[in-house]
Amino acid sequence: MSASAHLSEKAEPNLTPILDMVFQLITFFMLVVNFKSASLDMSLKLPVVGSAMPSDSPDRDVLVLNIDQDGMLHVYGQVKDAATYIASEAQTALRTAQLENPDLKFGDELPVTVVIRADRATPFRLLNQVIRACQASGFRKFQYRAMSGPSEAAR
Amino acid sequence: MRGRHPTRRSQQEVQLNLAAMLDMAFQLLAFFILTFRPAPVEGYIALRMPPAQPLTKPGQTATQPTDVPIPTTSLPSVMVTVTSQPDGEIGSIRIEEGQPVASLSEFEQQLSNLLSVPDATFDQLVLQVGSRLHYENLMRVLDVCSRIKFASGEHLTKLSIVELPDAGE
Repeated sequence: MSASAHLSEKAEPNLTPILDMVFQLITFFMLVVNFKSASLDMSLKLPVVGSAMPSDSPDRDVLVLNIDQDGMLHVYGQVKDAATYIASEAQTALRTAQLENPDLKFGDELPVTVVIRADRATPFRLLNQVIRACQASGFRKFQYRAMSGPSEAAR
Repeated sequence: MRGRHPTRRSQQEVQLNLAAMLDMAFQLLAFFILTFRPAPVEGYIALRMPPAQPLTKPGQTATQPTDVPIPTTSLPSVMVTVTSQPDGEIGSIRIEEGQPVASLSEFEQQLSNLLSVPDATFDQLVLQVGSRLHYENLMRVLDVCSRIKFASGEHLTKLSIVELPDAGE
């Protein structure tokens, strides 16, 4: 082999395996990505409760309310007026429910579960204002979120 | 050209340039890695909460917890009063008009004894909560309540929470 022929050779790495691996990684992240977690305010410090059941059921028809220790409602990172927001969500839920049950009217029980995610230091007085606003709008089913931990008896 | 140089055509190799696709794939991968935020495993206590009944009649002022009349609900209910300290901790827990219980474990024991008798007529629990009680301590009480079983084996799920006025603490 002459010297000129040796220099003209190109060293081309085979990119197919690395492309396969990258696509597998992309597939993994696409499958585990959870856009619903964007509605959760991760800055809240939830209480730790022993008998809190893990929420393994799919979250359908839920209204997530993030409440900080000052009683402010956080929705996708923005502070909103709780009464106004809950009333508007109730109107939306009512219109959706009326598609299946036209007889439903304002004040009737709505088929939506309210998820309360409050900071552990939130006074009940502020929390109760949100709960009462929900009840006045027709919400009856509530989920109080907490982190699973050792039970009170085990402490 | 077909048929004239069959051997030359078969020797040609079609090589895809994978570098551009790899660039795009890496960009997608970087996006997913940067936006990946695994949601913490949260639990919940599920309750069905109809609007609470008024504790005092119209025109009547709120009084001490022991003097608070039992709300007139359609369902026979057990009333539990949880007062709060100024720092949000639990002040005292009282079942009906009984003596304050010393701890949550004792509260669980007494409530379980009350609800697990076969001829118990109670169907729901009314929780009177001090206005300053922190959510963490409220959940500790709810945690105990959610573990209580009736004699039929069913868990207690019907629960109303009403707020005690500051004057009552």
